[in-house]
Amino acid sequence: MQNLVEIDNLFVSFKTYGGSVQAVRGISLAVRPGECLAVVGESGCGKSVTAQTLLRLIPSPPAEISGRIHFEETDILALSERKMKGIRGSKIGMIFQDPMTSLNPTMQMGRQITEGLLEHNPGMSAAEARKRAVEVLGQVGIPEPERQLKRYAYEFSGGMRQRAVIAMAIICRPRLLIADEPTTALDVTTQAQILDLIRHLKDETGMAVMLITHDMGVVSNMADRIAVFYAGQVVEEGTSEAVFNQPSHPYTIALLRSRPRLDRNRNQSLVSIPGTPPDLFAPPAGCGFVTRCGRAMEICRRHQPPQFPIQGEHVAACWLHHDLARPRAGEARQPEPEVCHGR
Amino acid sequence: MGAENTTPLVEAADLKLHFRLGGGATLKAVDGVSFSIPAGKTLGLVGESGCGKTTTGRALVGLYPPTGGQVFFRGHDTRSLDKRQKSEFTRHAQMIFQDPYSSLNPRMTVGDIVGEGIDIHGLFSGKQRMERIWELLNLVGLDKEHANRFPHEFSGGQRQRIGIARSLAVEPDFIVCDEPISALDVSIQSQIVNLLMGLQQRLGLTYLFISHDLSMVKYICERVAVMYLGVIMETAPSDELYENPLHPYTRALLSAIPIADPAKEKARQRILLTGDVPSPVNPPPGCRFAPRCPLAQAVCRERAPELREAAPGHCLACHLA
Repeated sequence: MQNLVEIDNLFVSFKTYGGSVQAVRGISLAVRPGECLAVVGESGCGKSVTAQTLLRLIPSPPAEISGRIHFEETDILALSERKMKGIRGSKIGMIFQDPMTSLNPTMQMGRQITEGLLEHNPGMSAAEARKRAVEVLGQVGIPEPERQLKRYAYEFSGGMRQRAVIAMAIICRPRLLIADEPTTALDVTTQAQILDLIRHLKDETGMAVMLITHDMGVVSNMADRIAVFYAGQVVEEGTSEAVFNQPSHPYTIALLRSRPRLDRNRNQSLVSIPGTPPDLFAPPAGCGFVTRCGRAMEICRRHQPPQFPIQGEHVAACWLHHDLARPRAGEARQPEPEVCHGR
Repeated sequence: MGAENTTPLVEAADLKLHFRLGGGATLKAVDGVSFSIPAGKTLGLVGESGCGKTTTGRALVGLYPPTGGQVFFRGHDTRSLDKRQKSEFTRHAQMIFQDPYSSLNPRMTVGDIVGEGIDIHGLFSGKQRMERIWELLNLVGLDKEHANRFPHEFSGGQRQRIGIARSLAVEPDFIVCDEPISALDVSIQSQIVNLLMGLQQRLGLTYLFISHDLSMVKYICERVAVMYLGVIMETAPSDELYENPLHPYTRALLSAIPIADPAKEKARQRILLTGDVPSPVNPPPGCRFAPRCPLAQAVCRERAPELREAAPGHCLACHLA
């Protein structure tokens, strides 16, 4: 299958007064047409920077970007800004985390929603654009779409605003929708509505979705494939079933066990991951997770692990899966969690 | 630990907090909430944003005077305390705040932040005060050298530890934990939760744990109360509430929480609520949940249901269930 997006060995760093932050350190990823790829990781792991680089929203210079990004055969990083504008918002749509700040408070919803459409279709009349806006607002489940065109963002609730943002993102029928923490600012009942909507739109329009989140629960319900990010690198990648049923990187294992599960009783144990993620001003020479990993070996401190195949296309960047370490990796595939109560 | 038959440490009786907005409008943030927390136990208070859970928590530690009803601390009505008793109450009831960034004064050193309560209540001074601060920092997993640093030098998780040390400084019995982990990263959340639970065991603390994270609440709390638009909809022992939710709102809320297991997710039946939480300024008459409730009948829109005991220890406010 031809990939919609191919990211190859991407590095992004930012110069600051405190030195250079290496936000993305050699990421390779692919998004296939019509699939939902979930990018999971905590803040500062490089997931948003990767998505923004894909849309060329990170100006370079000052940022230093190296590697290759291909979208439908086009080399994104080599495009002129004018050509990039033709892709951004039309072939790739984006939803941001906070629906409160991603809408213009002084612009009527109708104009705001059709802005991108008119920009990308110079010949289109205002009446046609309006018709399409009503259609899309209906598609995202906003009641009485005709009436909403004249309203302002402050008149909408959080859930309704996020629906309007989704409408803006899909109005040009993009091939890829990037959703950066689309439900983090919302309540659980609204979150369920919005996730349901995104899944429904994906099936209906056949667009691919790149879902960026820190919540493994959200992922399990949405993703076809998962890429787990840690300290600017992909530490594990595979189909949703493979990553959940056989998590193979110690970080993924710990992440899955550090949250209590609603479907288990109160006596479940909660794993505490000690320490904090590494400082990306001075990234570690070896594995980024080494200082927090209970099973770190000498080699982990010195050399970055390559991606080892687990099964099929399921890969994990961890030395425990090297042939020489494998017997130990096998016995400890489900290591007993260390539960510490109050350190 | 705390025996069930003694008087509860903290009790709210028909607690109301109404805020006048001007123009005759009243925001009923909390509208008649009753519960009690036995010593050494944890009550979870869950609900969506704007349901009044933080306001309830603040009223319990005396940050807001109730506009109706009472708060009892060790059996005493907190409105009729004399000056000395009032100082005792504010010392023994503490709070941990949601945002570790805005809840620490950026111009004070960590030592002074933790020591402020000690000074106000005159507990220790001089060398003893400093030793107490070091002991507290140690207790929450920080070093004594951290006392001379400023909050901006710390990560979110470490800041929350400072906030916890500050609340422990005056040797409280009761702590309101207002979303103490929601601003933290996933891998840090479990550190703070395990710290809070360890401290509870060691110091015999009583918690009100406010959160919108229902799976974490289930793990931490013996008992859970579900709030919606200023009133309690259902309250039950933790495992009972999650296994056998009776109120339609609780059911919808539980079914909305994603589970980190694709197979289970596929098999699940979801109850999708339509619409949003109505404004607490002019809440609907009758049951607050009626406009969104899939089962609502005529009676629900006319008369507000009372909180009643449906099974031993399991109370709910619903005409139908």
